[in-house]
Order: sequence, then C-alpha cells, then structure tokens
Amino acid sequence: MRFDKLIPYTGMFISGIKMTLKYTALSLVLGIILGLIIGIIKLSNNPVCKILKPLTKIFTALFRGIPLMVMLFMVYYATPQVLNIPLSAIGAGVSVFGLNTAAMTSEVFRAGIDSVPKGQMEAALALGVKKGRAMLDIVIPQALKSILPALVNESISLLKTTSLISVLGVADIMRTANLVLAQTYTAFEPFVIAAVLYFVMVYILTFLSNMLEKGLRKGD
Amino acid sequence: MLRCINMLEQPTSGHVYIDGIDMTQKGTDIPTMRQRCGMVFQDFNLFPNMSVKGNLIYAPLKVKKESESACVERAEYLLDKVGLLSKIDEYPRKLSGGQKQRVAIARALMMNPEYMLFDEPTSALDPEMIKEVLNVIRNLAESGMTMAIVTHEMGFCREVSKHICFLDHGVAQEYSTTKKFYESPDSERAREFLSQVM
Repeated sequence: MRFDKLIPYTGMFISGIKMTLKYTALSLVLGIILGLIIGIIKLSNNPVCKILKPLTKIFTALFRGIPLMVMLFMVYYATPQVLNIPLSAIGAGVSVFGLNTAAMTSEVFRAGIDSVPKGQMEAALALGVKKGRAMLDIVIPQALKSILPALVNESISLLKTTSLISVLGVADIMRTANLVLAQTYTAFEPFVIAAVLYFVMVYILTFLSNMLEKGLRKGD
Repeated sequence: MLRCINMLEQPTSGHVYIDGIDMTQKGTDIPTMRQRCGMVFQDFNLFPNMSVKGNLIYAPLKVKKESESACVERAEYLLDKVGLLSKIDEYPRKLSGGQKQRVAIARALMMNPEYMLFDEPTSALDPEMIKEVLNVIRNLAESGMTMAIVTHEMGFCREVSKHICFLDHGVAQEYSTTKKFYESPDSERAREFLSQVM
C-alpha cells in the first residue's frame, strides 16, 4: 500500500470534497423547502391544496419508483434535446437530487406535523395568531423533534447519493478517486481515501444533528 | 358550542355575533376577533417548547408587536395574580395540572381580551387542583370580565354566573338567569338534572 503516492493529489481531493458538499448543500436546501411545502399540502384542507394533493402523490411515487441514475441521465441528456435548453451538470444534479430529497422528506414532514397535538394549533389560533405564523412558530418547532432523526437519515443518504454526479464528469470525491486511479494506476488507495472522506463527513453530520436534537429537547 | 364562538369549529348553520360582528360572515377578521376573546382549554394546550414566560409573551410580542419589556412586565403581573410568579422560568412539563391551567388563563389574559371563554377548564384536573383554578376564575369574574364557561361544577356555576344555558346532548334545553335556573327551571330535563346532582 502506497498512500504516499497520493500526496500530490491532496488538492484534488479537497476540491472534490468541496464539490460534494456543494451538491449536497444545494440539493438539501431545495429538498427541505420543497419537501416542507409538499408535506403541508398533503395535510392541508385548503381547496387549492386539495387540488394539488394527487399531484404530490404522483411526484413521490415517481421518485420512489425510478432509479436516480436514470432520472439524472434523463434530465441531463434528454431535457436539452426535448426542450432545447442546455442544462449544466449542477442544474441537472441539484434539481434531481433536490426533488428526490423533497419527495422523501415530504412524507417525513407530513408525519411529523401530524404528530403535534391539534390543541397546539388551536391554542395559538385562539390567541389571535394567524395560521401560517402558528405553523411556523408553534407547530413546526415541536414537529422538528420527531422529524429531525429522519431528516438526518435523508441528508446522509443524499450526501452519499451525490456520488452519482461523477458519471456526468463532475469532479466530486468519487470522480476524483477515479481520476487519481487513472493517473497513478493504483485502485485501492484512492477509493479508500474516498470511502474515508464520505464516512467522516457523515459522521460529522450525525454528531451535529445529535447536538441540535439535544437543543430541541429543552422543554421535556 | 364554545369552539364555534371563536370559529375554531365552523358552525354548520346559524350565526355567531360578538359585539354585533358576525363571526360566520366571510370577510370577518377572525384573528383580530380572537384577540378580543380569550380562550382557555380543557387540556391547557400550553406550548411545551416554551417556558412559562415564553408562553405568555409569545402572542402579544408576535401578534400585537408590543415591546418585550412591556410584555414581560405584564406577564409578571398576571403570573403574580394567579400565584405563579415563582414559576416564570419553568417549562410546562414541570407544572401540575392546576398550575398549567392557571398559566393558560394568564396567557389568555395577556392579550387583554374583552371576553373570556372557558372550555371545561377543570375537567382534566384532580379535585384538589380544581379549587385553585376556580379561585382564579372567580377573581376574574369579580373584576367584571364577561365570560362564558362550560362546566360541570354546579356549585361554582351557581356562585359566579348570572345566566345559565343548560345543554343536553348538544341541544340547549333552557336559557335563563342563574337564580331562576336553580330555583324553578322551565324545562323538564333541567328539573330532572338538578334533582340528580344537587
């Protein structure tokens, strides 16, 4: 084993980490915002939301049923052909990963919000608080406690899934390992490095979420 | 019925008027009307993720945009009145049922409501704790607050109320002054009820 052979590639791996983090962060933000909106639509009795409800079900079903690799290729190669708009790797990647995260987290949000007793919303309403505000200030913070573990799982899975983007030639951690393999003719070391990098990142994420969870438990 | 008054429940028919304003009408500003009409629930519904102080100052701070110092000052004043000033920094789960309900009353009063609705405020409490909550409500009644209370506490009801609406299986059987209700109720069902419980 010759890990010292990889020292010249440290810079490449660091930019690989940055690339992986960038895809993860952007997809996560898109996924959580959209997931929350879809989750609320699934719960709402508002007439507009009722029309949208079947669409959200189809949306979740599609992402559950189609492999992300297929989705990624469809968006990246097929969309420009059909719609005649060129799509960057980051555009394709973030939209596919983000939408996938939204589909998965929408269920998490729906269940989490549903788990907060109805009286909480009623108490806020009775004080004259508007519904959206009460949702944001009272219901969602309480739902977060049950949502957070599932959300962390989803983020971890997203972080690992972003390695798919390497097939589009984006130099994330996975692609970097491949490139190093091609240049050094060693396979074991670069992939061990890639594995360790992913593992450490997931570990840090888990640690941070544990801290956050403790903070949220203040009231009980 | 109480829940229909501030539109937590949509009445299937009929109208609700508060100060001549029809709550069931489409354009009515329900959140503003709810501010004028404090509500206390059977199971307290304190916000568990906030301290007692947080529970009290949340609505005036966020809805009425009052200054934090003014809110805290009023919170301290009201908690003192319900005898719970020492619990201001506690979280709801540390409080007994009676204490929770007294905090809930103080929370409703924070919005300076003109009316108060009590939805079975003592039904979820131990007999010992009922008294402390009833005392707070009694003080409030004596201060001249207009209140509607749904209750099974017949003795208390007789003592503090001016009018009684007697309901049986969701149907109003009788609406009269307290004196008349207890002494010579019109409806057969009310007579039967009173002979059973009094």
